[in-house]
Amino acid sequence: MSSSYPRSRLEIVSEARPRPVVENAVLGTILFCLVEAMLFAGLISGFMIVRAKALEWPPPGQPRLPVEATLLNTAALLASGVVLFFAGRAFRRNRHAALRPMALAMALGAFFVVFQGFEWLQLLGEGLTLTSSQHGSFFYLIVGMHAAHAVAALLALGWAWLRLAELRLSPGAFGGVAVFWYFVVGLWPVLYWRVYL
Amino acid sequence: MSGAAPATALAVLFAVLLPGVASACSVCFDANEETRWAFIATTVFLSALPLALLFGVGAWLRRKVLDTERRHDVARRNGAESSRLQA
Repeated sequence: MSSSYPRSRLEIVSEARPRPVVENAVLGTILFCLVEAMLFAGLISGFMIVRAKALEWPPPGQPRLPVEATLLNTAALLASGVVLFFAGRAFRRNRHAALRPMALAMALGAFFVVFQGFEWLQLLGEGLTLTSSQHGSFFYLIVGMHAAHAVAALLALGWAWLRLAELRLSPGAFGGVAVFWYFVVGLWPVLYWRVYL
Repeated sequence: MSGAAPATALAVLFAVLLPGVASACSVCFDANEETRWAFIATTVFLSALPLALLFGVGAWLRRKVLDTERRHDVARRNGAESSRLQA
């Protein structure tokens, strides 16, 4: 730029590298979630067909899934999603203010995972195992796959929380982790509806 | 050439009807009506879901781009106006 006339401050700022429309971490996580959504769609489809083929469901000798208790757990997971949403709003205003709601969201998410662990122990005791029936196979595969995602998302949230405590968490990183957690939260009601009900 | 079109049509017809003859398609033929519907529903679900997801993300991105462009236009106009006033 060799022009001789003085330039306003706004013009100089506009030459800086433009910010991406969507943060890279957010877009990357969204694409990852799309792929994972198809994985779960395949599993749910397989489960639906096996269930439709069965004469009796759950198969004879297999326990009924704890529908009511899991409903409470579902509420805890949904609440964690709502709390994380408010953490995001707080993050945009004042980063430090997001620490507490983020911790609460993680606590609710951890409650969900631990509760599910106890549920599994109970079901294993009642005879529902990975090899006991197609019911057990699909239940542990689908719900276990979701639990694995929940644990991974919780670890990501923990990492983000530590970064935030040091005030080193970028908006993109926060957005990416939040998208992953929203995916885990949003997927669960669908799984609950298809697998438990 | 005149016999090619009917022959092709016949071949296509056979290809379409063949699964029916063999009863090989679980979506089309199953003793259990509930199973047949499960096959149809999951086929539709698995076909439509990726398209819906991609179109959804595409539409969201497009809206974000348009919003950003609109903001840039406003900033550029304001910048030009302030430059004019300074001059």
